[in-house]
Amino acid sequence: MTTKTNRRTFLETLGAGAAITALHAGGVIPKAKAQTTRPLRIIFFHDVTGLCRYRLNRGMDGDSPFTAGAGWQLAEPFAPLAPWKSRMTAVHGIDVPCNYSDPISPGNAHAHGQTACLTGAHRSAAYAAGAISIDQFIAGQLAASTPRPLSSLELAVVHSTSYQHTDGGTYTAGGRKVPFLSDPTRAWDRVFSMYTPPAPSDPGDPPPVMDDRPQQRRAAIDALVMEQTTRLVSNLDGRASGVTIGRYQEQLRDMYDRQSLSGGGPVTSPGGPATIDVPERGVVADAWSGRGGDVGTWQTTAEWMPKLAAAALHADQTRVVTIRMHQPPGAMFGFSGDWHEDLVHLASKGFPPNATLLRQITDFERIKMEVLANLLTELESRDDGGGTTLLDNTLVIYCGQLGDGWHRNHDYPWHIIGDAQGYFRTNHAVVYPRHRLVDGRADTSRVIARSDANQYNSLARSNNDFWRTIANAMGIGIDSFGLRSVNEGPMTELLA
Amino acid sequence: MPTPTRSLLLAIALVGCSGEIGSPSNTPPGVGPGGPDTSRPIVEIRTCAPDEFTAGTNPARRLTNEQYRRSLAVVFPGLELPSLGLVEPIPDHTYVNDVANASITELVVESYQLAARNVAQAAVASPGWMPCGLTTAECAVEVAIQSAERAFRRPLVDEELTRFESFITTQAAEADPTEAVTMFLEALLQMPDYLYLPEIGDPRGDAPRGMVALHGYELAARLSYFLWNEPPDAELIAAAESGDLGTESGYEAQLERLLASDQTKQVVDDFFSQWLQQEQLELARASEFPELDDDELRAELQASYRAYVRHAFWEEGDIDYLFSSRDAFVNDRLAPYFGVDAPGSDTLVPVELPEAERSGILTQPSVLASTSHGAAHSPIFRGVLVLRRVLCAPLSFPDEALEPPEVDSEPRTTRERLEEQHTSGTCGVCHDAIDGIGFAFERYDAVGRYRETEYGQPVDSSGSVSGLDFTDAIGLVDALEGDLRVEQCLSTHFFRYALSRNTEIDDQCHIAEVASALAEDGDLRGALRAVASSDAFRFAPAE
Repeated sequence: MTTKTNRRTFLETLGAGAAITALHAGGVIPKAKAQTTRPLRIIFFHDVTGLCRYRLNRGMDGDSPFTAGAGWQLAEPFAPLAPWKSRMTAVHGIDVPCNYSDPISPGNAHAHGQTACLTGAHRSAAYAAGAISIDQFIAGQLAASTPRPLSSLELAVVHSTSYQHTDGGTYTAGGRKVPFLSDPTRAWDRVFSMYTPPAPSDPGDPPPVMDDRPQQRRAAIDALVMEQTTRLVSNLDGRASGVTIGRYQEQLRDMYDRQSLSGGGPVTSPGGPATIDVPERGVVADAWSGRGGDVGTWQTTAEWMPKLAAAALHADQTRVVTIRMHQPPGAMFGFSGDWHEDLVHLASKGFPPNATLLRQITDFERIKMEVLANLLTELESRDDGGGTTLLDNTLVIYCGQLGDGWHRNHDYPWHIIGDAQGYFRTNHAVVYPRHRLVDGRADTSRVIARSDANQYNSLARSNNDFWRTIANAMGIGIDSFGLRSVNEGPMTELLA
Repeated sequence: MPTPTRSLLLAIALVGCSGEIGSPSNTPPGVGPGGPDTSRPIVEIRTCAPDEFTAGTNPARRLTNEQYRRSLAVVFPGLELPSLGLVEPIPDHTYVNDVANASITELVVESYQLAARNVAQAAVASPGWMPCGLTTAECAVEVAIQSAERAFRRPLVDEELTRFESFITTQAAEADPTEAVTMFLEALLQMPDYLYLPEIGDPRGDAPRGMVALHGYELAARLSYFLWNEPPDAELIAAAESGDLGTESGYEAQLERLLASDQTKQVVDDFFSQWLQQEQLELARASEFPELDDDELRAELQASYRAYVRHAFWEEGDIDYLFSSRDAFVNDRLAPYFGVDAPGSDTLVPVELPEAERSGILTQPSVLASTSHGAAHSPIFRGVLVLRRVLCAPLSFPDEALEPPEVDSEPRTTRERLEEQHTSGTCGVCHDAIDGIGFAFERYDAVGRYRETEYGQPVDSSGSVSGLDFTDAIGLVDALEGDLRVEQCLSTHFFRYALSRNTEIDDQCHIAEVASALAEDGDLRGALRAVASSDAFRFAPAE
């Protein structure tokens, strides 16, 4: 007997909640509130390491419990972000409930965190995601409506001995890992090698004469490649290898389409700034070639990746950037052991943890936050036209794939920086209550007290709801993201 | 063609943990509710019967970055290559050439485009490789066709000749011959015929049932990239063109020629380096052993490993030697790490290691050090390495994070700490096997030096796990001798490397044939030859 599978059910089992949105009729989708004609961009600042729950659950004095509402305090590691506190929202208590029903077994918290943090979906194997991550989803949606030369840009702050298993986190549809660039020179090439900056001109000047030869040249090359590729795909029709090369053809076509936007002239959106500061390639290359060892590698990527991210968004080469933050080398915070086994784990174990470890983990976190602060400074320093700065028109999400240094996949402390052009309320903290799980869902009739900091196995609001809310803020009208069954609705507490 | 069915009893490793811990319904055969069965099960594996050929899948292989570079050297002989900026894959317990590492993303496609542009400009700026001067459109066409045939590793078909000639003629007219060739080369290096090894197959050729013969050029490319890691040379192309490569004798002659070359030695080096994951040595650090921070020391340890493997494979050629010899290659700097007197040489020279301390490749300091991390050595990673790579045990990751060990107030050995940690809960279900194997190497510190104490306490390197009883690593190696899991596993890895993919159930009879021969004669080169001669390698599945 043949059983027909409902298409929506089928897609849901793949963790493709976002993909099925169009199949669900209607739904109340809040729209972004536009205060400016400038495009809204987004940066995912993805911290792959664990965080120290004890430290994050307390204010900057180290003792006061973290409080919700407008009277909130930044936790001590977040001190470098103090100048932007009024533009921030702290969101505590995010859970990753798709992990509770993940049929893939086994897999530890690293595997769960890496694959589900940005996807909100079941895995396809221990360390393989089963669905698209939110940054790639938003990138795809924005590229479809307002194509840019790059649909997204992925940059890593890293050193040479960073843990290999912290790769991943960002996935294309189908759960394939998206590679990140850790060489700033290579990042520059990717973003700016075909970029033409806008040239200042007087109103009385005649319009510049465009040389269309570069465009014709590129079109001829692209056409020859596509013809040959199409022929090969046709010859391999019906074979596994034909599918593989067909995927290559799709990526080629997408790339050529995006690049055709450049058209030999500047790529800027209307109303944008007259000048855009693009770092000189030689300066970036010199910094990279003279970087030295682990510490120098980390510091060079920490300096240049935020600058390049800001420049890429400012030049409107892309509207989505993901910066993956790996751990700084121990020498930067006076630690000689293994940061993972001997610091992050142990510093998160006791309540309160060992004072020395607590100091070191706080320094460890603060170094990463200084990179984020530098990014915000860079965004704020750029005039984006219409009396706005680039930071005004950029939503920055601080998120991590581990809930704490003990790798819990729940109770994540994430932050939103920026109001998405009036969409989000700012300068407050939202702490979602924890609930027990009943039949895999939150029993909202009973809240678990937060006084017991060790009490886990609870469910707060899902990362699915968080990502759905962020997507809505970006003007993407979805009513679920990732595993649909753990979507409960938009996080209205965050909205203005 | 395979020989008639040979009854072969092979032990299958069942020490791995898959399924949900404690769930009898999910336990694999041989695993009881209390954890993995540590006895050595005997399972009969079928071999390839003459009327029952099988073949695994045949996904498109994409050139590795190294193959890409070496292929360019063939397309543009003598050209100094510019910076390519290719995306480095993220191997995940796979070989670099595994198709699992070849997924296509936006960034990968862009990097090919950028590399193509840079190479095209460099190639035209240094025209020494061209057959003629780019002053006419005719010469431009000749250059384009020569480049394309070298890049595609085959002659062009008429349709391609027409299209490429038309492109060059048009662009030469619109700009000039140099610009036309620059554009053509930029396009050529983005074409999948260059970036991949597409295999259309030749349905008219003789092939076992369920399989299809490869075209001569396709087989030449497959063989050459496997054994030389680069495109076929002129002689191999000629054998493909004449049809000689499609005959048993012709194929065998080319195979022997390739095997006898220095290029194959490099490939074998590369295989054995990836097999025991020696690239991990670059990342190995141990806070109690700061000498591991020394890049030069790690490089010299790797060089010693390569020298040992090269000698074992090419000079001795015997699997028992590989696993149990006391020979090593040492210089004055490395001597203390191997426990021998300095040989009075800055270069690596052969020495004999103390009988009670070393036995073969698994006790090479490079192997022992490559798994070190955190404060010191890691019995867990050492155990995982042996189980995965030597016994092919299907291991997986724990379901939950483990509680960390308390900071010791009194000195204890690593084994004592781990045994206490892993006896709680369900940890022992997997760790009895993992740690049990790993503890065999407790007599070696994080850099691979022999020792008898740790933190002032005597070390215990004995164990009885997975059907293997031993008192130390030498005893473990003795116990592995004659254990067919080793031959089966090494053969599996040869196939994984040769086929650029994980092995599948349909490959098993081919693997079993190679494993059985390896068990009989111990001939490592023979095993490599057998893999390249197998139907799984020489033919493609009929799709």
